[in-house]
Amino acid sequence: MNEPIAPNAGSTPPPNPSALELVPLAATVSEQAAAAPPPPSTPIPMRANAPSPVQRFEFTGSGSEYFKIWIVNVLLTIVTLGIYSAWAKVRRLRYFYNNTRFAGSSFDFHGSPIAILKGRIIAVVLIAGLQVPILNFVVLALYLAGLPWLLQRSLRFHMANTSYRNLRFAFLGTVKGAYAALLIPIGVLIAAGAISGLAMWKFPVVGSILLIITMLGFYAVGPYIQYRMRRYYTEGAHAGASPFALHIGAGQYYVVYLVALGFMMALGAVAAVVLGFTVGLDMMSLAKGGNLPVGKMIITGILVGSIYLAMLAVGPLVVAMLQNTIWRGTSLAGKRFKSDVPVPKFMLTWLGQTFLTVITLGLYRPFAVVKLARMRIEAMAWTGSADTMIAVLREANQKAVGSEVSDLMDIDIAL
Amino acid sequence: MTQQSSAPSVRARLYAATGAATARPATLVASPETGAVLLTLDGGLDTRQFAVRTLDVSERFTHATRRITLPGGDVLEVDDGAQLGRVLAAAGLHDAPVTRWQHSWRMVLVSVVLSVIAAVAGYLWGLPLASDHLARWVPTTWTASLDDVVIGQMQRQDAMATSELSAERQAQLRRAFTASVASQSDAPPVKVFFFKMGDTPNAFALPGGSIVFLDGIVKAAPSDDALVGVFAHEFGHVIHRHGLRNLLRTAMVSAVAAWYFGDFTSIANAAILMTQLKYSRDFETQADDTAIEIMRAQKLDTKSLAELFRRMRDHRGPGERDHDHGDAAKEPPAKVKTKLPSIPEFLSTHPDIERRIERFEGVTTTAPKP
Repeated sequence: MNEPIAPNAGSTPPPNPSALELVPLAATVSEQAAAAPPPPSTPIPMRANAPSPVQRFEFTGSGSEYFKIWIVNVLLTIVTLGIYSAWAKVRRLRYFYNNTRFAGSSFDFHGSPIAILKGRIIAVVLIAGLQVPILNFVVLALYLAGLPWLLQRSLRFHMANTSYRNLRFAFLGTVKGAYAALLIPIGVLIAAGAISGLAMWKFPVVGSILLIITMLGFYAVGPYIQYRMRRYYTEGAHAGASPFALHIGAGQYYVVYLVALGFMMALGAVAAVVLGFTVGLDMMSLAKGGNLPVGKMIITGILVGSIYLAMLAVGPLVVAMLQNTIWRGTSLAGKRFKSDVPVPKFMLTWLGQTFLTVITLGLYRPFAVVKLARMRIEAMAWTGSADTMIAVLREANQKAVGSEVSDLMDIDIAL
Repeated sequence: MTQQSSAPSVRARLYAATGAATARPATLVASPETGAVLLTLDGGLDTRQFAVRTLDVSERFTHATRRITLPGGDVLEVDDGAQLGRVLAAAGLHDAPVTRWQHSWRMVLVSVVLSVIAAVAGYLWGLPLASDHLARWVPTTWTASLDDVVIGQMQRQDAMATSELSAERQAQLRRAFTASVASQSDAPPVKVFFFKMGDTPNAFALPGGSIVFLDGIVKAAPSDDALVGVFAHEFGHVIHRHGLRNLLRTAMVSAVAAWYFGDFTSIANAAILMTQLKYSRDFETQADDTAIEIMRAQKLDTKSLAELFRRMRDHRGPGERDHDHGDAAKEPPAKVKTKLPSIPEFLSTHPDIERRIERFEGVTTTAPKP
């Protein structure tokens, strides 16, 4: 663990000069608000004993409403052979952004479907190119070499097209930064893979061992790459001119994945014990000349099968834990965010919602998506006040305007 | 300017384009005669007028804040989205058709029905048609190089051993195979390989036209006629490019399922597999057609092939009888699956073996003279 975390050390003033300058601005904001009747915003009751007010995120969407939007999107996407999916994505994002409320207003998304369509066309061409012999090596090399650039474009597109109170967010991370974050770890892995592949060709045994080490290395390096990408993403993201800051180290990512590994191993051990125990009993009864207990075997099968199904919940486990870790370690203008997704409850909800999605052949999916999104969004809060947020956005807007990008170069790749 | 009391109005917040980030309370009133809306800031004296055509209005959702981007970049936020809809409608601006659709349960029901119809039609005809058209664009050299990779892997695999059949026996079989399809004028080049994998009786075709026989099936065959029949079946897979078409269909089904299920794709894999199985069974039936056609033309005994199927079924035992013989496209090294007895046909890669045996039993060996 590189850095100590102090998730709620936010009660002390941050050592950020810009945050201190905000105070007079915030005062003028309050004056203006006093001159006119207060906007129908800020529904957060401030208790007298609360030292610093917390701005909670709120989600106002509903499953039945999103179902209606989703099914119309599905139909139009099928009818247009997939082309409408870019427009569908914009409508979906706007639904979720517009329904996410924070300090009396909500977010908005302004991305053009054409940019998303371009990204999808690029993806289809890449995937097709990967199938062509010989050419596929060229395509793969181009893709890997261009991935950081695509990532930077995509992040820029998303941040620049996200707004709050008529102010755009911005992503100021550079292409160089993206290469630094991604290329070195990926390059090392590719080199290791190539070396073990070559070794495999000449010396199969040595090569196999190297390949196994490479694969283990991939799993071992995975959380680190994810952490580097998150750092690049968070530090490039700006509200106005204020950058977001990340206060965690790669160690925290490893903690999350170790917990996930532990969860899998614990369930695997339980399954093994159940299976070993019942099979042992069956063998004993067989040895004594009894019949094979088919009914009991089926029950065992169902039991072990459901343990394996429960293992699927490792996905939401990682999602919830990572969200909590990342956002507790993120600050804006010196004020930390909070995230308290209840991990076990989130996993159980995910399993239940997934079950319903499967037995309804996917028709329940929009309800599931809304339910899980609500859990994740409403777990979030910011420890600054609404006035601070307004001041942050306002103080720095001139800089953010300069970062607006032309639609021509916008590309969105879902990574 | 005074307003008619009947004109609908709604409360709004104005966020200036200059980036103040502070909300200024305002009221928006419809002006039906002019097709415009009038905006008055609280406490302000001036009223700004905008033709509704110049407004960029966000979509109506039940609870979400709606936004109007005014000419010049100022943004109005409105919490009462439904009332804003009435104001805009009074001024002559109505919801887009898509928005109206998704607020009507009747249109939603129609969408569900149409989507289901489109999905079933796409699965039964659309995807097969699209993948088959796409297959025509794939040159045979690509699929041939794919075969080389698979054969190379098999040679390196422990489970796969060099065939124990003598070189003469292999040459004899190859001659019989070639002779059986010699009359096929546009026959693609076919390569026959022999491998040994325990005593598994199986044979399969790869996408590029390579046909692999395992020693087990050569030993189990009651006569060489049966082996020519097996070859003819695999040859059917080759001439119809089943391997490639299967790959393309699988890719398309997976892509569609990934889009439809989104985050829940991992669960959807079982459903994807089910859909592939139907395509696979269709291909097997078509390959059987080719086998019967060729065997008839060569006046070979199709009953010998029925007998071979019976032996293969008994070799695997009832538990796995569905997984006999020839997995055309994917995973040539037999995946030995343990399954519960009597698997229904819809869960199987191949048509019911009993029905296939009956079919080959019933075929008359003498071909009708043309």
